[in-house]
Amino acid sequence: MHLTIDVFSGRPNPSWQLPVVVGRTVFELINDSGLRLLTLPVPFPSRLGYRGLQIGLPIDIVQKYRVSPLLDIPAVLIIEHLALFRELAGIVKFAGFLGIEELYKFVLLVIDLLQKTIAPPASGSPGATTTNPCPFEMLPFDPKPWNEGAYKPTNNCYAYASNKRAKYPSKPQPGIGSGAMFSSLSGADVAAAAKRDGAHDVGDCFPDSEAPRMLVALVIWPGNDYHWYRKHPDCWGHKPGSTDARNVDSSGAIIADPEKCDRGPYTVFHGYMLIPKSQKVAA
Amino acid sequence: MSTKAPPRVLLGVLLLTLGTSVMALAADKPVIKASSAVVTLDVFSGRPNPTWSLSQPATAELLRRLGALETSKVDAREFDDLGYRSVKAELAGEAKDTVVTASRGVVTLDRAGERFQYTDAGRQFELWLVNTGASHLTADLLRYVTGEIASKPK
Repeated sequence: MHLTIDVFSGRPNPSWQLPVVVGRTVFELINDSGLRLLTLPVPFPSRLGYRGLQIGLPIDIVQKYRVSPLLDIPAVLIIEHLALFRELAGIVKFAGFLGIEELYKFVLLVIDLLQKTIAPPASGSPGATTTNPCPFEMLPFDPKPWNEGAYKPTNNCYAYASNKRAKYPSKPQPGIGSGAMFSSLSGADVAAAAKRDGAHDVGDCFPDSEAPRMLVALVIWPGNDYHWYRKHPDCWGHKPGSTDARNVDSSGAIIADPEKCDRGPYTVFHGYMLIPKSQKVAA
Repeated sequence: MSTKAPPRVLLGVLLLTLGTSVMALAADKPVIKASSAVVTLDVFSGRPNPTWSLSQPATAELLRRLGALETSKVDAREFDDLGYRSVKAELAGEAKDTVVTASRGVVTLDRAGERFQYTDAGRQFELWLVNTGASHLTADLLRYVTGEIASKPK
């Protein structure tokens, strides 16, 4: 049995060829949970983080249970998936000697992601409202240097999110630092351009040598523009275009959660990313 | 041609054309001459803001409309949030370094360290200036901006 956990955005998803006895147990676990009945035709969620399981079944199981050899199990029902993974952890934990130690680590990671999805940590704590398991640094909110006359006009949201204050000739754009700007104003394209500049999806950690690592959030004004927020110890900061950097939303409220704050026309919340010290930001 | 600015700031408009220049002259307003202008819509956060040029007739109309505004005793509020914020015209030619900004019912004219402020009743001046970019903006963006202006008359 082949098991793939759909959790990454940029990197290939982790997958394992399970030993026969473990694979059979895992399938029976899924079959008993009822999640198999929900495999068609629901698409995988488009969010960042854990999105579901893909399973390649051996012929004996396909024939016995009369199922498709390839099962997609989207993580639509979070609580059920959490229960499944908790049981899976119990099985895999004692099968480490079969060479699937790494699977156990990923199972624990997914449990952690799902738990945070169901009950996010208190607002303001590290990782609040995200499912980011990676270490990152939260620099104090200090808008003053960003609002100086020499920097304010061209340091935009991307420069602020990346913590790259400079005297740019114009607003820096995701992708220019690595040679190719985004090609459309979709969240996927802008995020891909930021990744070419060095950013990662949450869950794809940076080493300590890349500190300070920024936790950022990307939002989209469909067809028109993008905007970034950066996490600080007690709030999220941002800099709308050539205006002042601030930590309040369009309603004047301190930003505790960029997914829920007033963002004006930037109605699409694309997701969270990590930006390293070495991010290449250029205009 | 000098750009002397009378110390008083009020009313009265006269539009003159000298060669290729257009002049807005008012007894109580600064003399402004310009043959063209570059308009910027301050609306985006990440991307560069949309800009376009005004022709000489459009620039003349800009100055005529500016001259028709009444002086405001209310300071312009800086609206600097996400989404549409203001529309700005940077005059070219003899009025270089003169910037006219319209936002939330107030038009400001900045020149050589001086600031003049005018009331933009119903935001009509602002709306007109935004609409000069109709052929440069997407229909969706133009609809959003004019909708924002219409929904917040002050």
